Amino acid sequence: MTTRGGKRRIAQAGRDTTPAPDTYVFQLFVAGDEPNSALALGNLVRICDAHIAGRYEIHTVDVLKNADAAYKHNVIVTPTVILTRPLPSVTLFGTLRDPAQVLAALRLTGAR
Amino acid sequence: MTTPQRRAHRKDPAGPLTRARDIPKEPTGIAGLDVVLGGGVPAGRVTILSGGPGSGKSTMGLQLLLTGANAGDAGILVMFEERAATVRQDAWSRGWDLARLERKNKLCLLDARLDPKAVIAGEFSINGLLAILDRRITAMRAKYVVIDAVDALLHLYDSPTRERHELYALHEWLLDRGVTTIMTVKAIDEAEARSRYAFLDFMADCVIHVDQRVTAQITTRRLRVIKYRGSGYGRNEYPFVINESGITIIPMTSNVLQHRPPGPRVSSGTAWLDEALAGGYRQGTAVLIAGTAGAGKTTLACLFTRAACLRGERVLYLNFEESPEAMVANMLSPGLDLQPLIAKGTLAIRSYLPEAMGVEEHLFHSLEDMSQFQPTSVIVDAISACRRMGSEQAAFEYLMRILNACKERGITCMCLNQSSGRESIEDISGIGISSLIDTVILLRHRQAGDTMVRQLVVMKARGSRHSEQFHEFRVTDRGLDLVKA
Repeated sequence: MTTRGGKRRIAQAGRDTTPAPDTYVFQLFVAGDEPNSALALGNLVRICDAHIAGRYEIHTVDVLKNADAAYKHNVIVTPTVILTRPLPSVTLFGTLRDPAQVLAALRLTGAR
Repeated sequence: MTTPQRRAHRKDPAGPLTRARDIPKEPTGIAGLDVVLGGGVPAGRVTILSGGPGSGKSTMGLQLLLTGANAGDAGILVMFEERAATVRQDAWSRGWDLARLERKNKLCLLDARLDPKAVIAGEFSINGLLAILDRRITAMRAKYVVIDAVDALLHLYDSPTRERHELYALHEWLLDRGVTTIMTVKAIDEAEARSRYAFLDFMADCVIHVDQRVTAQITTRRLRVIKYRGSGYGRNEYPFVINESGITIIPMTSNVLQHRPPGPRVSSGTAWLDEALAGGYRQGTAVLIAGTAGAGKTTLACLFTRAACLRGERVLYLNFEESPEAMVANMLSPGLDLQPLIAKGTLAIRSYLPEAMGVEEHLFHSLEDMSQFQPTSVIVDAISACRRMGSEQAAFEYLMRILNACKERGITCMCLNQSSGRESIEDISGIGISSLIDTVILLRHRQAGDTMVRQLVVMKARGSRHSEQFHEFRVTDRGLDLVKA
């Protein structure tokens, strides 16, 4: 998971190359600077910092710049967050405005 | 499938549905639909196609894309419900090779199904889809977009206001790209389509509704254009069929002005009847032979058939009561051997079970038979059986169109009808087609002492001084013999 193309590493833990086994890896698909996408990123960082601080990575993909990536991952709506690690993967649409709902979806309920 | 001519501006002076200043259009390649739409769907605009499940919306959309792709114009199919593999397979069963067009970059199947397990957590938009679509449209220089089952997308939104807002945004976006678009929307019935998606009808430039209904256990498909901004269109409901090669719509172009004038007289195959008819039937006219069961209707028709075939003409016999084998065997009794005519290829007998299909499928098959066989005469045996295609209305539609098709092509059409023999001339056809019938012959039985006597009377022969006498005749092994009084 290296930084390339339209991907931007927001936060990271462990080494630059491979994330540590207990690291949560997210792909966040945004559409330029639309408000919903900005809200989703802010909310995701806030939730992660509160519950899995130092153990997460967020790779953002701007679909306006990288439509092929959106096509490859079948991303129809923005913002879309895909938790790619740990498996099974989880997909969320929207601004992630309700932390309780997001935590439950990400199986983080009960995490510190 | 055929590749229709592509003309952005169709100016067909003969087309009754076309106006001189119609907006630019794109032909859909669907036989008949382009006639109803006066040339095609609006170019660079959005057409809504609504209808229930299995009504043929997706097939119509795909057919537009194929017409474009075969003419060299690329198109994109956005699927909200179906898998690309399924669409390819279904198309393959119709003989449409989508993979080939995809390889040539003329067609793109865009799977836009949303992950059903995805969690909806707050506001979102379809910018992802638009980004992908934008990229594809530019890369392929696509001219057409078909968005299949747009309602599946709308169900994601929790409020009708949001639903509407997103669709307006999508509509604007598509107009900005200048692509010719068809959006299909599922609706169980027209009433539902008009309430839930009424705003779509206002938004789009062209709205078409298709449905599938069952009347008297027979399924028929109908299509209706609800609106077409800036263009004239056929305002009726049109029956259509979906068969292995796609969709065919049979528009009612019952323009009497296109009927050809009656041709020369041709023999009825029976000398004394020719005399009664002042020389025989006239080529390109409609003849009705009505009569009680066993009065000799089929024999009379077959005598005409044989005479026509021996003149070197071609006869198409549409039989709704017997198989070709049974008919050939039965006609041996009055001394008529039809087998050599079939072998020579001048006679074609096509037997169809009336209740096997809906009226438009019957029409489709009959018109197909006519265009393949190119007959000079068509015989329909019997129109009384046509009622079993669904209803009186179905029989009327079928006969009306067959008669019109014959008259436009100068084909003699002979219809047989079983009747009690006591009707007035107006309802002798039983189906209300008498205005299109030029000659009416009535056959009946009469009891004379302890024997049965057959009688024939010419009740009507447009433009002829026909005999008004009741002719008594016998069926012999030489045909129908006049009994001298």
